[in-house]
Amino acid sequence: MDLLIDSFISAIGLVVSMDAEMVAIIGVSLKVSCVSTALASMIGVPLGFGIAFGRFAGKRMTITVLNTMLALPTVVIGLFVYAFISRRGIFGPLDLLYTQDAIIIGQVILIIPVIAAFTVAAISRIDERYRQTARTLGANRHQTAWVVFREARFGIVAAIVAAFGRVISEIGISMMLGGNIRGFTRTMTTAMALEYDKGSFVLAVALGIVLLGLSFGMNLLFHFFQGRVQSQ
Amino acid sequence: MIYKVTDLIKIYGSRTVLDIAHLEIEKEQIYALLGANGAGKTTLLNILGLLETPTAGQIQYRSRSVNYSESALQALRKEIVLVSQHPILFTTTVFKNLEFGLKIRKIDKKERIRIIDESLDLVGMREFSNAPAQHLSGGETQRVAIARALALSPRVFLCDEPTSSVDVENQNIIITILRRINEAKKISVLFTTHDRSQAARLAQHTIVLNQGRLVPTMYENIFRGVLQTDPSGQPQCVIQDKMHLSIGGHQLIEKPKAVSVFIDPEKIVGRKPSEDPAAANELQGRVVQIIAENGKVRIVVDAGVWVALLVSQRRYQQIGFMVGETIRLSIPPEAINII
Amino acid sequence: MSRFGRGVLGVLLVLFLGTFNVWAADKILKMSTTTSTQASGLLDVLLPELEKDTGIKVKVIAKGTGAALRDGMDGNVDVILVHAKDREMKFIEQGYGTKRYAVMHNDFIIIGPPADPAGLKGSSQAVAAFNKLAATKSRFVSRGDDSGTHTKEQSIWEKTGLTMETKTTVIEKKGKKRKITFTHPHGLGNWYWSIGQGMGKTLTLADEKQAYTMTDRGTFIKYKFGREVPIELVVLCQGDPTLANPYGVIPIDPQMHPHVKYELAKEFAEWLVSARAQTVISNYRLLGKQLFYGDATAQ
Repeated sequence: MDLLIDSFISAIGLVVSMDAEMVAIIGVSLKVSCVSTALASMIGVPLGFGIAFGRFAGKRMTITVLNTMLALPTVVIGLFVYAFISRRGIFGPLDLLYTQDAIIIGQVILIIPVIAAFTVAAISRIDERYRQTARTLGANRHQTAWVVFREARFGIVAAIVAAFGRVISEIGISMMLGGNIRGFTRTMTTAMALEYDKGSFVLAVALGIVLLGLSFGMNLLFHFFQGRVQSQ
Repeated sequence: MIYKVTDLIKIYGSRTVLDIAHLEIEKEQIYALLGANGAGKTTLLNILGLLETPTAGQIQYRSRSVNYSESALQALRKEIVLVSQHPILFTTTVFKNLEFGLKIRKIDKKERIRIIDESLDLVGMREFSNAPAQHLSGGETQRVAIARALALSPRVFLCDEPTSSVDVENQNIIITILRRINEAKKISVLFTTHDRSQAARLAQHTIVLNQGRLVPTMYENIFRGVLQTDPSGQPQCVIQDKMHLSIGGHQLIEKPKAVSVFIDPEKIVGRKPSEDPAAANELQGRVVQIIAENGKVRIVVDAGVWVALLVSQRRYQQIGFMVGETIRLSIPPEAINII
Repeated sequence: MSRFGRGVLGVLLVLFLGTFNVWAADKILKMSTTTSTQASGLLDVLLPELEKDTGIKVKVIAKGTGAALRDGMDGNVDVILVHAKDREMKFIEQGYGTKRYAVMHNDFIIIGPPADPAGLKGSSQAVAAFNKLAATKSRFVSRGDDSGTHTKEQSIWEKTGLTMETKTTVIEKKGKKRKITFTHPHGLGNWYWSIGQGMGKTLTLADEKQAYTMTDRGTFIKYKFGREVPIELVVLCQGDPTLANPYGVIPIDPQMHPHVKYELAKEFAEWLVSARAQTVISNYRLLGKQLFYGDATAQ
């Protein structure tokens, strides 16, 4: 128990003093996760829209597949992307392995299903009458879609927040595709794993505190937006 | 003539919801569409509002057959607006709600403001212009929805049960609005309702639907009966085992058949009771309701079943029935319609 | 698109492009090594000296020995630094590496509970110690993760003359699953535990269970002298030449992978065996104790 308490106290010290190495690690995590969330949103939200509005055979199957992909473990994705971008893989010559871009690619694949599925759910919650009303007012297909998007905006933002929470705390992809290179691809989670392996807990606990704080904040944000959805 | 409907059929699954052989609607008039729940009013309104397509039949709008391609529909929707029974406003201000349709029509900002102010004035909601639409009461929402539709300067204004889910005060306001729209702006108005008196107050014409079909008047005097032969071999109709009415003609009815019967209230004759025994097609009943309506007088009589008769003012003054009085009704065979 | 939308897109573009390798123009090497090497802290001292002398920056990717060799075989890195001599020689034989430069060695030690039920204390014969452990069926925790340490441990067991059994299993280390095959004395799951984990976790478990284990000196020093609550295990067998753990640095063969930075890797390796680097290596102290001994003279 002493171990935990002492490490905890030292860790708080690290956090408060904004230790340089810790800040650098947090910076990498934030940067990578922000970019991957943004990219995945640009693909996932329209994808969710297409699925929700589209009329095509196998729509229900697509939604089922999407929901299944939500459960993909990060190591599976990591392995999959690794096979492609390793030097022996198809995209080998692009020299992507062990870079931030590699992590971003893996994370984008991880959360596109998350964002798309949540978007589909958010849209399906939108009363069909909004669509009908827009139509009676003379809106074409695009304008109608925009109306639904606006009505579903809180649900969609909640989806993006959920996705960010997912990637900031994942380790499988960051480790396998990033390589945990100091100052370059060392994220909060991979750093924590390393520190634990080294047997030194202080930095790990400090990063853990920051990560928990971030996750908590993201959760609050998510519930805030979901709350706005209910009140509509 | 703004609408001409020919052989309209609408089927949902296995149910025939509408079956209208012929219907014409004049322009710049107020029409009430009456009928019980499930009679097909909303469906007809949606079809006239181009939100639903008929299963069969033809709709002519302004003498041209409606083309159901998306682009043609979009053009027509600029002339026809529909306000549903529980209208939904976008989650933004009242002003922006009205602005939506105007922006689509690419109307410039100054003009938009003018139109929106005018429309809100018409429904008496001007001071709510910047209020969030979600905070309005049911009646206020209905009025804003009407203003939103009006702002688009339509030719046809369709309204589904505009006062059903609204408090009494707002009901009167809305009825006044509808009348004003028609008189001031010469817009054709068509609204559905299940309230006879409301239809009478506001509309110049009334269309009555019963189970998807047009019927001459509201769902009174419509009974389920059995068509059979009476002991003397004549065809007769038995309504709820209480009324045995001879229907004339020489049809041979092989075996009893269940039918729907409509008795034309204008053809029923009412008289003071007498000592003579009841003749064929005569019954006695107590007057339960007397209402003046569109220049005529409607008398509802409880003769085991409720039967209504429609008489002219003059005739009524002659007879002078009173509520609670027992009178004798005579139903000639030509008043009986098998539908 | 609205102004807001364009602004967001612009920021994203800048961020994304910013992640591209700005370092590419400089002299940068990608090296894979083992986690224990990284954990020893030597590289944190050595690599800055390298950069000072040659301007070379090294990106270190630390994995288990097997994984580090794989990265070399796949051409994902330019040079490898590991401590598994037999496998290194095979690596070169198969044409993946050009030459093995002997850089340094540290040593393994056999540690166990202070009570020492198997009576190993003071011995300097690793093979004999292992035999005693098997005879007394004293609890022993093996890393079992196909690492350099694990490889060394297996080679000592082979020398004991005991019958060895082979096992293939899937281990999960740091969230990754791998399939490995290893040999072990009879008694797996009984007194001989194979846990498929890194050195740190292995020490922690052995300490909890008051068991014997074989560890590299570096990790032991950290866990014994570098923590608020040190482990209780003590050194019971050391100094045997078979326990020496030699490190080799091998540039990847450009004939196998033309894209590797061979000249740079060669310069790196030659620097490692230079007198200057060797001094730095031998002077490195972990919590006041020497960890590595330069091997460059034995070229």
